[in-house]
Amino acid sequence: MAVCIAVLTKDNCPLYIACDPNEDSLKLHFLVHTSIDVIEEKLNSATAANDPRDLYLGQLYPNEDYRIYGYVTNTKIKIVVIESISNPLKDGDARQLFSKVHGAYIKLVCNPFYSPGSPVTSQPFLSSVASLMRAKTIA
Amino acid sequence: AVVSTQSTGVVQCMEKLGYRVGFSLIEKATKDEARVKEDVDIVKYICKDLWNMLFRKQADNLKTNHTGTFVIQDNRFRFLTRVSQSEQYKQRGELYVAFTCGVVKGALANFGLPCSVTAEIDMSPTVKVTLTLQQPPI
Repeated sequence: MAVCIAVLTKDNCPLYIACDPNEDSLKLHFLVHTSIDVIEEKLNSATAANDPRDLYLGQLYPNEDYRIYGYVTNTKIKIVVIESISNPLKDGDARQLFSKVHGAYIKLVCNPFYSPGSPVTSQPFLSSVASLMRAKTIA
Repeated sequence: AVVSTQSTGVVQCMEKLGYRVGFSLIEKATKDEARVKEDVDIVKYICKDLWNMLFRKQADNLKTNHTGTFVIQDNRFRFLTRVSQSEQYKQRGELYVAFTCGVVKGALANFGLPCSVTAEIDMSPTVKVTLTLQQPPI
């Protein structure tokens, strides 16, 4: 179960951050912010040993309470997912989760009433992210 | 040849529509693609995959001067193949290309490469689309 799902624009502005209400949202926002540096570093590392063509970045950095995963799309949109350490996601599940968040974002952008970069108020997007956060296993 | 404010307004309107379409199209199309890195690769993607999606054929030619300007040439531009090739329709041809220019501009903007896009029709149905990247590649 994800504790936080965040979508950031190409200028690293937060587009949408959803946190589990039981958790300290300020701390989660801070973790998302610090993960931006790690993502940028992974993107720019010229000697990427791992597959540089892959969109999924894997676990970003270790933390005693949480696991933080990153994903960057071809259009420079960054997605960060934070999991609590008591319930870690398997690699395949994490990729599926990112794929679904990406899919929800694409539907949001294709909506002609949404102008890219503006605050998100679209009900389908909000509810699909909320259900992804609650899902214990990714179908 | 009608060059009035009305027609330039129409051209701008078509470009704006195309921009939004290009933006969304790229978002959708690059979902499961491998990461596209270089500026040149991005422009090649436009020539091959985007052109394929819009016109079911790839662009015929791509030229660059290596300082941020690219020229995409399409020898049988889909929207102009049915238009008569006489001089008097050249001006009107612009309107048909405006939407495509907008799509290309929106697509590049979503890739993170703001640019200006213009099109020339020397000999219909050959169309040359010129992209000028605003930040020349390093």
